[in-house]
Amino acid sequence: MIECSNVVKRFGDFVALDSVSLQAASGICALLGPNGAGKSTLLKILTGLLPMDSGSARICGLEVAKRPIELRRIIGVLPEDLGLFDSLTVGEHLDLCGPIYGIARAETRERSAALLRILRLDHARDLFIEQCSHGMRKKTALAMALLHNPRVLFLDEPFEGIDPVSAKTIHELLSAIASRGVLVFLTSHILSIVDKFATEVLMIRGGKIVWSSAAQAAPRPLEEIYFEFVESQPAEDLPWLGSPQS
Amino acid sequence: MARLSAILAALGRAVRRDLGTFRSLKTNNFFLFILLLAWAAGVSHVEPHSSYPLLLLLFFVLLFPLSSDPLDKVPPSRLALWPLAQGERVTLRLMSLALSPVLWFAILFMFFRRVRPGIALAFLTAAILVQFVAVLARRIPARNPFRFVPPFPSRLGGLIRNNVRQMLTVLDMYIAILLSIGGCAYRFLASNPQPAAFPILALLVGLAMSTYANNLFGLDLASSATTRYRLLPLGGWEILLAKDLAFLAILALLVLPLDLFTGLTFGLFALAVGHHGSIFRQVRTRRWRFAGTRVALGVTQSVGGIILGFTEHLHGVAFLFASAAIYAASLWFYAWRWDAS
Repeated sequence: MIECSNVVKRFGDFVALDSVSLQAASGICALLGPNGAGKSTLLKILTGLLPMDSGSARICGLEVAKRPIELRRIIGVLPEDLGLFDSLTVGEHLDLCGPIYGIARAETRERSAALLRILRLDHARDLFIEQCSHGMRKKTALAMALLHNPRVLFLDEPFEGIDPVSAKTIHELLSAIASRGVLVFLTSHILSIVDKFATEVLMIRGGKIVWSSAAQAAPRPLEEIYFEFVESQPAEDLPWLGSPQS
Repeated sequence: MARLSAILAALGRAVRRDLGTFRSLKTNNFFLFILLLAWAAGVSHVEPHSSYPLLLLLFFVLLFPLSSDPLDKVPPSRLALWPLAQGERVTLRLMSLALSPVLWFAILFMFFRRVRPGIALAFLTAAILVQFVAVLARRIPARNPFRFVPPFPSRLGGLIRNNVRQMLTVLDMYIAILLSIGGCAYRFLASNPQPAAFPILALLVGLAMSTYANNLFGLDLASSATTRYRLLPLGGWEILLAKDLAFLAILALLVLPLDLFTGLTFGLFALAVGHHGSIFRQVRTRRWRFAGTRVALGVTQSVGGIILGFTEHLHGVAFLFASAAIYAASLWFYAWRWDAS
């Protein structure tokens, strides 16, 4: 469902993505990498938020750069900045999306209620976004991504800032929809979660895919692989921390 | 004392930066119009009486953001966490008042020979009352008046509601609302209202709102809403139309008791010109400030809109259709540019 080949993106002299090629057909595909590695840039290019400098990308056979509106109808996206309106409440965000995706109002109400319930947001339905915590905002954006039953789901750091119960719920929800044929493509920093439920893992560093689980046969702990291929821990100490107070 | 002076220095910086956000006023169509009136009076060697009521209106609306508590610029949790003694907190509270722009204006008024101290005191009282209302509105979110903006029909209804609420966070709209209320009072309460005043008032309402039309996405730049616009399966024309319909809905409501067709003729032309700034010259607009724009765009909007508006009033509704045609052409062209970008 996702095919991209030789995608290049530069910001001035900085090469954010350097000939990235990948294919993902089903299941949950996780993209791991340190800050600034190019994860969000790749996600933005695949969702049409950012133009690529060269290369090609297709989602469900649709050329990303050429058919943006058709593409947006079949994908659900949890963007890095969440994409929320300050002047709308949590519930109004979902009410807004339904008709835009061609869902009848009654059906929108039904789906919204179910999503808010499962994401434990039903108490926050009438809160304005600026009154919500980061976790609540993220869950609102996730509900917006799911409301129209997308065929491909792109999630940028879906578990960051989310409480453990909601994280487990989201994880189970994503596993369930992936088993029904929806492709979930996500980025994350939380290796333990990714290790548990991703069916395919890609690692990116300096704008290049440096490791793919599809190409590896022997199972190893994800953390070990991450530190080997992506980044190692800094060994520096801060001796002034814990010293007598100044 | 070192702790206090460090905090006060930071507060002073924050107040200075905050005052900088009022710079948008100098490129605001309504403000430029007041300057034009004053300049014209100056050239004719007469007192600029006609600009005084408008200037007073502008200043009254400005009282709301100017009267905010300077200490509000420190997040309450941060203030509570700082290791300050009770005495230091009281001193900080008192000294921070000196950073309030409203206090500066009140003192300035007292020293201004033509203004009586009573007026300065009235000004301070009004500022305190305004601040009281603002704090009350913040403390009672359930009573947030924006909740009363109804959902609009059509699939763009949710976006239009969001846009209407956004517009109501810009001070320009409150100038327009006050002008409309004043116009209504004149129409219904004056013993012998002059019919010629109503198209002028409708144009003034449109003028007060027009700067916002030059930068329709200005408030979205402060949030992540621009990303959402790019993710929704909507064409550029639908996104622009949702913005424009919100603008026209407010404008129509405000000019309805004055001169609907003249006001709409101005509004459609203002939007047609404003699409250029909205697509190509996006500048972040801050909430509770005046909208600003490129002066050339503002002048084109104001002069063209006023000419078309007056012509509609004098020669009939055909000029409203002409304005609508210009608007439609602009919507088509700039939607195409949005889609291409």
